[in-house]
Amino acid sequence: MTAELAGGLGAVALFAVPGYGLTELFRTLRRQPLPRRLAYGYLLGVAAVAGALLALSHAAGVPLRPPAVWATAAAPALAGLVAGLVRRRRAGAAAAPDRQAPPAAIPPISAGPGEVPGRPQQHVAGIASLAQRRGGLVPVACALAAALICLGVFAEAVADPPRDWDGRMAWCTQARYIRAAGTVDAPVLLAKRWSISRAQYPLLLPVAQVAALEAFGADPDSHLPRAIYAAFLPALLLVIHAAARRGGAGPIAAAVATLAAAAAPFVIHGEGGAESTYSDLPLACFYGAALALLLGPRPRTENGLAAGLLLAAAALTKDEGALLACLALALGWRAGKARVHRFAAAAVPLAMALALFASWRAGIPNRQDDVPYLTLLQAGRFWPELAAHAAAIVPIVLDKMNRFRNWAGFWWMVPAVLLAGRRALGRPVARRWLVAVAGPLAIALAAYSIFPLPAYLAEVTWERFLLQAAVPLVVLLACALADIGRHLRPTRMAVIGAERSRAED
Amino acid sequence: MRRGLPGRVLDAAAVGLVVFFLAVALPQALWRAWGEISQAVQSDESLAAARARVYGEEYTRAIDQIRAALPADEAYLLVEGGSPGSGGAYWVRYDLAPRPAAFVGQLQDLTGGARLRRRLSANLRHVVVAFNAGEPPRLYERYRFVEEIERRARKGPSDR
Repeated sequence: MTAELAGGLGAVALFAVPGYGLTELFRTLRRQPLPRRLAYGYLLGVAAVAGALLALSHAAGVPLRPPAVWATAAAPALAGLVAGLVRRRRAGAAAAPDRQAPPAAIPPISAGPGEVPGRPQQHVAGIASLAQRRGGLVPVACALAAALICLGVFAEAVADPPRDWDGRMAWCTQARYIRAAGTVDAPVLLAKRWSISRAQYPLLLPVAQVAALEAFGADPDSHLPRAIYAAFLPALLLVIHAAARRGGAGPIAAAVATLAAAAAPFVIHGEGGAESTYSDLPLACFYGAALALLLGPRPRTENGLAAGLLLAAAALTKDEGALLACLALALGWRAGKARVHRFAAAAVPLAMALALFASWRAGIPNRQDDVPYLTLLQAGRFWPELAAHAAAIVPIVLDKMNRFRNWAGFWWMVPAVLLAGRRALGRPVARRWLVAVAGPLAIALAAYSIFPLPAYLAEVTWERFLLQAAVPLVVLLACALADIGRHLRPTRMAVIGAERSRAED
Repeated sequence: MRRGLPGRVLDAAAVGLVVFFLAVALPQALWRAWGEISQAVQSDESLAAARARVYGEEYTRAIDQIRAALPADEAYLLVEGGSPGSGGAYWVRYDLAPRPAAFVGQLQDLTGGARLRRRLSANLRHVVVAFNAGEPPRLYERYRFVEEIERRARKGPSDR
């Protein structure tokens, strides 16, 4: 257990440390509080390290072995370190004249010698002060609950080998073939005679698995790759929290992040959740984090670049990731010079990732058991089939969302909250988040409309598409809850919040 | 900002459903997380023991035997002996990776030696038959597997 725990933490650090270094290059991310900066850092780290290894292996034939992995991880970490040192030196030089200023007045001592609190009182006061600094008791309680849930997922991940369906059928098996060959163009993938499922699926997460296993020389049966997937859960919750803070107040943002954490089938033990080795949770993180940067109020070019790296990762994570990345990019389009620069900065890494994916995929033959979506799409039966298949799909979709044992009424709550807080959904930014929610669901319906067994496909994939839409959906919930809060208690804070929302629009 | 009665009812219903969801789902999620953490803290398993616990002892033992018999770069022929869609062949392929697998098909479709030889196009020495999840796979020399299929074909379909 100790070795697996250390290996799991090492695997997460392999991506989090370089990613944290990368956040130093992006002012908006650098200024985030530590947990949120770490979350963005982890996502950027997976994108940069695994993405670079994928590109180096395919385009330059660099073997996926420890020297390449450590060099790829060290480069962004060092870049961040240097950027941080330079920034601090500049800040120090700029602040030097202030040394001439008179020292600040010593703050008055409020408590007299007789009023010095005892140790227990100091602890209570310390906790109260911490809670106050964090925006009240609700956010602190939510943070503790979410942390415990994430810790539970991590504990399960380091204790057990993978037992999910797609993980063993496709992603982890591909990772083993790639690791053995030392290249993403492994002979098993290239030769059609060998049996492999989803041979043409994008390889970012399998490459991340290989990087972690190679970096630490881990046993092929090690649970270490599972820690990589488990770490996406806190990243998702922190991205949700960061994005939801713009829609609602701090307590509401914390509450909706906890809602997401509590929706266990959504993010934890359902197909695609954090306890699996599916790529849906990573895709949800990349898509949601990129949207949060692209729809943010400050149209900085550097935000566009960070969003572009995340969109590139989305495109290299799953087939539908490319479509979602293009949708997110389109949603980030706004007129104005700074906004166009942000858009262009996001488009470049995405275009490079799509070119890389197309080049790699061109050499991989499709296998018999893979779904020929492109062929089905070209058959041109999209619209008539959508109508014909609706009768089979809708009952399954409703049944899955209505299972109380799985969802505990999550999907009863969502429409009620969105309806009650619908005024908030009319804002321009909220309308973009609405389209972002619709993206994965539209892809799901399109797939069901052309697939020969739509009921089966809906049964096994619907919740995964819902998960992909998690960040925009929960952000909308935060907006709606903030609106409901304004109805129920129109305080000065709520009015300020409404004004801030309008200003951001 | 003040709302009419329907609006207030809708607000109350929305807040009520949020509270209800949190009241039901959050304790479950926390309890589950606590269980996972305490189980992991108490556990002192090796990787092999964890595999045996999760995948089954017989299955894990059979996989280890096949791994010992087949070098990591030796390819094999994979036959699905369990019910279609049980996933057994996927799990065996995963556990035996990076050994390349050439999928032959369902065991029930291999009804005679001639038919089998047509399917065994790849010149590989070993055949692995996977069964339903948790059932141990079997390793055969190719010629023995062909003999076995021919013997079964002679005996008739009842002896499958």
